[in-house]
Amino acid sequence: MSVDAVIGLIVLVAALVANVGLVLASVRRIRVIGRKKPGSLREILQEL
Amino acid sequence: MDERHGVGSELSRELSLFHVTMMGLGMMIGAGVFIGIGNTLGMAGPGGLLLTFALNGLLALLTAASFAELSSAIPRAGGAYNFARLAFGRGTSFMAGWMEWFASSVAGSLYAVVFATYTLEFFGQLGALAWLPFGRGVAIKILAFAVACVFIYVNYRGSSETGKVGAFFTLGQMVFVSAIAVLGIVMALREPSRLSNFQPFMPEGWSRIFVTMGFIFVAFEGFEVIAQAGDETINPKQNIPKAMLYSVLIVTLLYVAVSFGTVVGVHADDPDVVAWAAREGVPAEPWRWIGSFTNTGFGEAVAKLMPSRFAGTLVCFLAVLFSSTSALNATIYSATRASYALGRDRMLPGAVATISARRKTPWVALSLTGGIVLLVATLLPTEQVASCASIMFLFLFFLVNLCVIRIRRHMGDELDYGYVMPFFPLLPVAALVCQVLLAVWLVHMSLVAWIVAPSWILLGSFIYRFYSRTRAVETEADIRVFEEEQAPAGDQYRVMVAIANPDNALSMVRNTYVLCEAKQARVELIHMVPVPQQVPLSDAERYMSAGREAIGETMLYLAPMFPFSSTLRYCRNVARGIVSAVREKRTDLLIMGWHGHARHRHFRLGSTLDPILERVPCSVVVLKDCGDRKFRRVLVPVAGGPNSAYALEIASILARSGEGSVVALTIAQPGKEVFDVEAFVEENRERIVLPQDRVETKSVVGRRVSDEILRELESKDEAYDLLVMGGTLDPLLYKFARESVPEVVAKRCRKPLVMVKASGGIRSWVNRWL
Repeated sequence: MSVDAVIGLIVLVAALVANVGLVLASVRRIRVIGRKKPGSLREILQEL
Repeated sequence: MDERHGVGSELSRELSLFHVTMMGLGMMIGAGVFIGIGNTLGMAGPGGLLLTFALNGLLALLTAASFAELSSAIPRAGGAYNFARLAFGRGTSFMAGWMEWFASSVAGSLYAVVFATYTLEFFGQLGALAWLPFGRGVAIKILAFAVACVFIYVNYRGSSETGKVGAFFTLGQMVFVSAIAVLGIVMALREPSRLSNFQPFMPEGWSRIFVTMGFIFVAFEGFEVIAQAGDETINPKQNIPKAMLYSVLIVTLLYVAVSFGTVVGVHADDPDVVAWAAREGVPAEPWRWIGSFTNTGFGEAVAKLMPSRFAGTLVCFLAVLFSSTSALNATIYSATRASYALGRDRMLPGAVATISARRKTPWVALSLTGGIVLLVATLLPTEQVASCASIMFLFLFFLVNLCVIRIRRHMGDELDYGYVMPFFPLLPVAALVCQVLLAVWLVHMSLVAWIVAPSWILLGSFIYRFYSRTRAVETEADIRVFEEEQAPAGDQYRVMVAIANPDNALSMVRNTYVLCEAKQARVELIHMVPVPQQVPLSDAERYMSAGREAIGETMLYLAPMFPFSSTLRYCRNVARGIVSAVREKRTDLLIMGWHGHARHRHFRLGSTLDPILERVPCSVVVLKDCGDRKFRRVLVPVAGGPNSAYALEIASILARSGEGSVVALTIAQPGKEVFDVEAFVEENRERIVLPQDRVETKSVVGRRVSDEILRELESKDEAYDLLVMGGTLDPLLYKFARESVPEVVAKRCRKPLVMVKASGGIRSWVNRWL
């Protein structure tokens, strides 16, 4: 396997993991915000 | 809710998370993947194909996070057009609508062309096209034209799938596409030797991947339509952002899986591949063979996965039939809505928003949209249509990523978010950079796209400049000027004094007098009148009496001394009102009072002061307990930088009026380099308005800077009567620092205090713009 192929595979896996990770992190945030009363952005960020 | 006639009405919320996710998927799984696979394989190789979809998915997800955040906070329908109006005003909003109109129309052209390509491929397999008097290329154009006409008519009739019925169609197309992916994966598991199809992994290197990413970016557009369903979705604040993110993730995984299946679907020893390679004089590699078919490469590969060629072509035809037609219908609908909105708001001639009396559909907007769809589908080759659609969506999403940064920074505290993206602003900034890169790289693929897209944008700018700007309908402003008395025009230094409390207005203005005199300034007094959301700004007169008193009193005092102007403004949020006034009036210095503590633990100095210090594009002076007195001995802690220099300047101005002196103090921390305060004072000598003998320097050794400053301030020997501080009120540091030295000192300081923040430099420019 060439160096490009190895780097390519690593980037591919990293991109897919980042996709899944970002969605999971975002959904967690949606749940956290959903549980609390509406508040200012500052309060939301503080909670998160 | 419409309450004009006393009867409330609202849409019933029936769409669940599943329905809206399917809506996004239905829009995305259109033509991009079908023509993208063959073209991308030919250009970037098998590994490049997987990387193209995976990285594009990540880029789309970053933009989806921006859309999700904005849609959760601003649930009104309108998408990018609406966000841009809120973030940047009417001009940018027009450009967003203008670009969305074209991008969706061109995407519609692409879906029509791809539908025609695969339909003719299928009937060609059946031998049903032998009678055609012209070539396949002409036939594709004619069929694309015909199918686009059908869906333009369908839109005119006003019949469209509802979210629930649409979900079943989307499920159908997903079943076909997933089946192809699963079949490929199963085949690779049964015959691991097929994995050798991925060698060489990236024969053309990394640069080609940027080209192919730009080319098939259109395969990831569509999630943004989910925002349009906000009024009908159950629990939209949570479900809309979730649906956007889920749909992009699902589509990315599906595309990568289908790409994998396509590559492993063709055996290297396949007689067709071997014969083709021998004919072309190239190695018998399946990816080369699939790539050689360009737009129909996907179909050829799928045919090899199936027991017979006919079955493969049939599966492909059905997948394209479901996906391209529903996406074509939806994009024509979406593009028509965009142009209708421009007409409705008089950004385009009002005739564009004409509604058909019979069908109740915007037939003029639809006709114009149809014209673009037909023209692009007929005149441009398929690859150029895809490139044009991709580049327009790259531009549009670029704008949305700018909007999310600006809206969060400018009015984040006023909005009720259902989702806030993590790693802000890194994600939208990363998306912006990638979108620029892809758009630039796309020039290698399609020069036509780089001519058509900027030409459309230039045409839009021209129309806005000479038509829309003066005719656009005013929407209700968030800030309304109630009384304004203009000062004579001139290029003087402009000082704005924000008066919040009528009781201390006069003492604050007396202090201001000293600063204004030194700067030969023109004074602008402003009082913001906050009006609750429930009250329309037009009915807000009842809130203004206190403001009028404050302004009247200070006007009487200042009238003989300065040229000045005064303004009373209604607003929803005082901080944003002041920032907007500072921008409009091009103020050089903003002076405000501070009561000395934050009423809420989430704020550092206060709910009004914090956002102003973060966003205001001019210098700021904040006064605490300064009253109406003259200062004899002023302490100025300095640590270098523009804020310290500005603090020295302001301190010297205040001390001069009381024949006082200034002490520049530095705190030397053990083990750290000692700041040369004398050299600093010397460097800023020109800015200090006191004679040299009235400016002293002092260095104190101590571990905690804030404690040492406060100890020095309270020192009985020195008898300081004012502390002037400049400091880390910088927005970037402000976000990350838990508590800065100026904050600690400001909160614990029991003597009169002045805090300053200097403006200037590239960072200030960036802050001003974003």
